[in-house]
Amino acid sequence: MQMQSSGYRTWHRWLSLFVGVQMVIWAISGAYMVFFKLPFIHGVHLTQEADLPIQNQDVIDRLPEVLEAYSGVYDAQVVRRFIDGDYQEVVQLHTPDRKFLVSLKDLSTITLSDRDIEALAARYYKKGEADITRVELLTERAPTELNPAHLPMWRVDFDDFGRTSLYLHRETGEMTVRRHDFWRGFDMMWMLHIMDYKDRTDITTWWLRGFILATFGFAFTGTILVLQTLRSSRRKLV
Amino acid sequence: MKFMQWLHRWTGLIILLQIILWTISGLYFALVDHHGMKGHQYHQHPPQVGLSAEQAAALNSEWWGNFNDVTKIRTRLVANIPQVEIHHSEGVSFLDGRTGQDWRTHQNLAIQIANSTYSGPGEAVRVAAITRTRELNGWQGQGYRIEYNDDLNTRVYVDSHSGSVLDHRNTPWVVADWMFRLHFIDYTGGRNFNNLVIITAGIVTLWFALSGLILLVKLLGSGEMRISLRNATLQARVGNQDVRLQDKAHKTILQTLQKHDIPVESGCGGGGTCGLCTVKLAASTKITSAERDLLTDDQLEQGYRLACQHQIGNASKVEVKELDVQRVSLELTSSKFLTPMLKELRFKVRDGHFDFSAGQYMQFLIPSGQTPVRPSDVPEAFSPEWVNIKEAVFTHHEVRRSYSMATSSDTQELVFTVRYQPPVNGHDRPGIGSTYLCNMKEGEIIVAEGPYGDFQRIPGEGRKLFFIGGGAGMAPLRALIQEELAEPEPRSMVFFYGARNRQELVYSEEFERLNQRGEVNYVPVLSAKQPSCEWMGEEGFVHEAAFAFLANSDMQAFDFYVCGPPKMLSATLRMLEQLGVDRERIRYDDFGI
Repeated sequence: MQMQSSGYRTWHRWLSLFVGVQMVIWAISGAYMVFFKLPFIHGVHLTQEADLPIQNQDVIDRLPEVLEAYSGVYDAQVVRRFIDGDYQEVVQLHTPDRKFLVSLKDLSTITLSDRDIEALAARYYKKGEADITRVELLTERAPTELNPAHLPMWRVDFDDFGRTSLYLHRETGEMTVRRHDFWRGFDMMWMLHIMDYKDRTDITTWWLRGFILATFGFAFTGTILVLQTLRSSRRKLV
Repeated sequence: MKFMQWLHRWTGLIILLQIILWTISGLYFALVDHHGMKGHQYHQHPPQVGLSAEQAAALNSEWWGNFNDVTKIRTRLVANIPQVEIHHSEGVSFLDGRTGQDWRTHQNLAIQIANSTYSGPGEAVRVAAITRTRELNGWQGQGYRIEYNDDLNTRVYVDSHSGSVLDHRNTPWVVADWMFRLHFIDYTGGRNFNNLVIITAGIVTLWFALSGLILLVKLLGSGEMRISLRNATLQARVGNQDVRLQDKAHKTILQTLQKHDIPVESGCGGGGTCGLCTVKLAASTKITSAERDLLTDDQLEQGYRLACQHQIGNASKVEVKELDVQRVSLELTSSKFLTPMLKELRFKVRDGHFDFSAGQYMQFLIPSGQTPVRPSDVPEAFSPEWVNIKEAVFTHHEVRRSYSMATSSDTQELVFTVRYQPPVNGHDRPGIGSTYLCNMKEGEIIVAEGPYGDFQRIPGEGRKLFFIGGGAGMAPLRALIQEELAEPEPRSMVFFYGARNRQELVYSEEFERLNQRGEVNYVPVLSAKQPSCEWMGEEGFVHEAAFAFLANSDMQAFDFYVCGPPKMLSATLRMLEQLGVDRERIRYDDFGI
């Protein structure tokens, strides 16, 4: 049998230099994302609720006063949160441009200190004894693992396997973002998968589209080759 | 390296379709972006208005005693009605703030809630109460679907229990959802990319991609992918003729020969896996791993290499065996059934003269057309075997089919044995080539190309020849045996031939005669004899019978020649390997699949 050698094999080889290497990257990054369960990546196992049950029914009766004192509130949430060394009942108010805590004792706005945040973070932390290495208020620049839209935000670092970082809301102390090394690995894989090496968010670059289109050519030539090989037994009994 | 190629091929074959699906859905994602996929084209956030102090004062709090461990009490306006959301030990409850009773969402309220999140040009035209929907994976409860008459067929899902909008869905969302199903191989709609199927696919793909990468690195290291604009000259000696061929220095010898229409056998198309494109180069030419796998040490020492493995820039002189392939018109002179399913066809060479050696084969160019499934000349004696094959006509395209000559060299007449391939395994049609040939009438003409193949006897005085064959593998073995018998001093020959039953022993009288004359030690072996058959000979699989024979004889004296159906062939080769027979002492003719 005569089988023309050159065409498809040459093309497949040259495409492999460009597309093939990216395909390896897609396979590896895809496998990482597939193998590690998403809730684990999201760090669901790292944290728990830290507010305690409310003790006084009166807190509801305080709401009218709160709403008299603060305008523009579209959402009010009463909770019992660990602030200033003790659990206290507070109301979290949402206005179109901020959310914050108000004391139900004197209706004053509560400002959380780094010690409050450290104490809250230790209570959110679910992996046992919290070994907190750093508490920092981020205002200007967000690390790559945090969407800058969240700023300002408290960052609490833990010394544990996976180097956990919890991000707490600046004014309410709510657990907002969880990060650990497996998330950071996932993020890197995602970057490689969507080929946006800068912001890791844009899935529509022409760069990516070009590679995908070239992949069709790569897959096509590969398909022809594998079919050729399957048919290449030179004799047929039939 | 061969393993890597094998791995790359088979993983590729398995995962091919999914890779194409990944590529298609990936392209879709890259074109459409998140915004086009969420179903939120006509979504807006509802106005952010909360309870007034008066409304807060009027809140009913008689529910307090009904819940344990309340961790959060949330108040807000839902469609202008105060709502209290309570997080407690048993979950989350929603109450109507005015009454303290469970929150209820009636139909009109649901529309109102839906409208507050809808920014499109349409209007709510249809409302349906639902308890679950395929469009909200994992949601179950009381709710409403509110459909809008806009260009995207928007529908808004509202949860009755909480009075909140669950999500928006529309036509682009459905398309996107299917793309996610394809990409995540999760056809439940759950968009779970940690499922077992995709994990399996991921593992296969990893192997596929990594084996490809390793092959690429090897390829780059070998210099085979170096591009050269320089021209190089290849001096080729084809048979007795010298030719000078010019091409780019990075082209392989195979590419260059084929480009200049010098026929070279090739099965894999330059992949270094079939071992057919053997040529002779300078003995010092480097040896690639493919060649080490496919050629014998003797061949390598003599300078035989694979033409696909060397670039003409590095190998300037090549000897190519002249493939004296020609097309001949063959006229059928006789066609008769030898066994129930096997016919002997005799052809006259129309254009006069045709040379071939024993063991070679021809490729028949079977034309497209309509052919009867069942030949008209099945003898009465064989008709029980044909009872299940009904008369019909089937349409087929043109194919090439190879058959070995069943006689040693003869310049006038070509004889073939053709086994009819009945429709099997759910195929509704029989084998194209065999059916066409079995239906040919005397005087009809067919074009064939050849001769091909190098299934030939190994020279060597005093060697004994051991033939193992089965079914239609008879043809080339018979030719080789005839050729040996024509020698002035024929060497000693053993021929184990396997068939299912006695009727299928083709040319048995001929070989029995040779056996009696002591020219060939002929041992027929039956694997499925008829219960009524009185058979005194060997039974079982032919390779097992041969094994028993060899165990009691001087194995080293034999050269082996094997031909038969794929299963029999591979079993026999395994058996010979187990016995420790030197590879160079085995020749076989592979029918392939």
